[in-house]
Amino acid sequence: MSSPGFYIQAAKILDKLALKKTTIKAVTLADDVKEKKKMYAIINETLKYKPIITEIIEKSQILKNEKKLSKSLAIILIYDLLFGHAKNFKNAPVFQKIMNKNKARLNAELVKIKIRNKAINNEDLLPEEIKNPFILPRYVRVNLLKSTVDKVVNYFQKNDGYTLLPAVEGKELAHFKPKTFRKDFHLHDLLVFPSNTDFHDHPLYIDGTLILQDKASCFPAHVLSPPPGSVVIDGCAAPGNKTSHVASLMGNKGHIFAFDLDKRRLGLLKRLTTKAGCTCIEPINENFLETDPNDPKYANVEYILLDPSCSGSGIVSRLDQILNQKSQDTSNKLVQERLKSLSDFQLSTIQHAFKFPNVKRISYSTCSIHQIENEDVVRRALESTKEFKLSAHCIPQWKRRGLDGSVENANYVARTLPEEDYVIGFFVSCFERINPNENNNKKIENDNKEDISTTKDDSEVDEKNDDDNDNSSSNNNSNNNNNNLGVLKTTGSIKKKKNKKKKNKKNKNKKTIEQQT
Amino acid sequence: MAVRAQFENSNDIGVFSKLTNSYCLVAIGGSENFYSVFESQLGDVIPVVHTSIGGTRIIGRLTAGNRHGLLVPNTTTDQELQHLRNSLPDSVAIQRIEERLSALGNVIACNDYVALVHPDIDRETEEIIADTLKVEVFRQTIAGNVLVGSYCSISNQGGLVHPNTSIQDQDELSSLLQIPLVAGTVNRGSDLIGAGCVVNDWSAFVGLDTSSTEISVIEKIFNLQNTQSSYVVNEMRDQLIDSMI
Repeated sequence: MSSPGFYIQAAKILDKLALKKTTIKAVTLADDVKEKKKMYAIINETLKYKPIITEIIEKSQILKNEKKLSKSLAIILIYDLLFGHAKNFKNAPVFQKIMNKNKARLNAELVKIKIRNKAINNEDLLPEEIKNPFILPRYVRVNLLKSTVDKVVNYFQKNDGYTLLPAVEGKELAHFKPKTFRKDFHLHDLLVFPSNTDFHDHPLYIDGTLILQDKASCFPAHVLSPPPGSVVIDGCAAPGNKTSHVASLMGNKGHIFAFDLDKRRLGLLKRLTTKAGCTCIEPINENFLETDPNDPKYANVEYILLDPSCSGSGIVSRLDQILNQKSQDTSNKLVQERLKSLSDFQLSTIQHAFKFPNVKRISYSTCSIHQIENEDVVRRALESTKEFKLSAHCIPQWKRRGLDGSVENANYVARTLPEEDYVIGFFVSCFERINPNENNNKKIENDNKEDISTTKDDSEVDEKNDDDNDNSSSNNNSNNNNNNLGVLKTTGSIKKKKNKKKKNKKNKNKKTIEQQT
Repeated sequence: MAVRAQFENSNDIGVFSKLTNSYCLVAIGGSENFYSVFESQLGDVIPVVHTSIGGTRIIGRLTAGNRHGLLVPNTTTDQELQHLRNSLPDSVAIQRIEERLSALGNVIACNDYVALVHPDIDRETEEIIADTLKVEVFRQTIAGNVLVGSYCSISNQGGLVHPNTSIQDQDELSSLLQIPLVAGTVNRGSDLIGAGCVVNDWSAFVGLDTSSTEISVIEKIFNLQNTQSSYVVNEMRDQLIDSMI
């Protein structure tokens, strides 16, 4: 029931997608597409069946007989003829003639393929991973600017009849009964719902209290965890979920510069962050790489969040996977080139961030699973600087760490595996400035490692200890003792833990320095 | 039950006759013996029609058809076409085809639902087959032979295929046609199944040479053993179920 123009446009979109330089959503929802939803649907479905349709085209030799048809146009038309709803191309008489002529043959080839694969329905022809896509639970972040976790939990229990289950991690997230939810095991401001939970018209989502964001993409803000009042840069900000997360953790106190090159996406950021009630964000439509680090405007920048464009190979929910299926193995030359240029760009953002004079901490994250974009970039960044090192405070509770041997201290960076962790594939790392007083880095880092393993779960320390390092060295020992005695694990305040660790580390540094002297 | 017959000393009766569920064509011969065999078996159920195609007697190899229609080659004269039109039931569509492979009986094997055709058949022909015979058309070979009509014989009940057809091919064909198939011979070992036997859903005719073993295979696969009673029951039930659905 579609016009000839629709099919021609769809074919052009297929061509564009074949070049792997764009995403399904970007092209099907572009401005020049008239029937966006329909286009998105037909492209998605066509891509699912593409291998089968290609086989049909080869067997039926339709391209030899119909010289006017391009391959992608044939794919679209055959999809609509055999799998779609348009049994006859009523509104597209141009194609009606061609397709009716070949209908018998095409149908016959489909039936033969079905018989060969012992398929009863058309759906049976699809490979398992497309038929039953791997489904992640629905992660929902509570916007601390609008509400608190406890209030939201209460709301779901009272108003929506949900049951709160104990927090779990890993495999246990696979089976989730409807109308139940959990607090997240690792992050205090995150809730986990069954994957098919619909939030798009939920009152708390509409008023910006809930933000739909995968757990993995909540990591960078937690890794950075700037204290309220700090000045932060988000290097590649759009669409702004991470930016608003930082704002939420800072309690709207301080200032965030949000850079993005794409005007349209920056507009999206403005919309999203306004909805989330963030008032401390200043969107800047500029290339982060071209900012002047010595500009007095950025003199107080202490924290930088970097989440640069990546291959997105870790994202599982997207249908773009269908396109990338074959490119998953990095041996393909084209893919390798793309990864190379992406990683060079990623490296340059980190190196640019290093130039900011007062920056204390930089988080670097990607939603890619390729080492070349992750550990390798981190290694190259570290090789190029003497002022920064990897921080150990990178979600220490998270069990899956960087690939062994890929970078020094690979256990200081975290990565995720969708199949086992039930989050999207993600990588996060944290750089921090080496204290100029420190001479013997290695030793300190080793000390830190031990330190973390013992203090990980402790949350008994007051926040105010954070800054007065000098006074706290006497407390420190007693705290450590506490830990060794095995203080009960609490999943609460991560921020406190961070502070504690930071403090411990500083103290340790001091101690080692004392020892040396 | 299967009946043995001979056309002027030839056992290849499939060459000189065409049998479907709604009509039967027989060639014009020197005597009426051949015609009488068909007439005695089918006479009160479906029309048995004497005809020639393009002046020849090999009508079984030149035509293809089923309950819904009859395809004749472009060599068919207007007079013959008119005669067929007058003799066959109105529900049967008759179509003359411009096809290079003009022995339609050799290149098309069909029942009322599915047609197997020569892989090189013309696209337009394919379309006409689908429209006239109301079937799904599949380009196929049988045991490596492109002349699918010569090497198999199918009805809606079952099918007999070339003796060299592999089990895999039989399975594929059988799921394509949705009927049971068996590999076998006719006329004491001839692999030209299409020439040796003509079948419809309740009767079969085979060459005079066909052995009793061959006949028993044919009767089994085409489900002809106790036709008279079971045909009525089955057919009526099918129609009832069809109309209820």
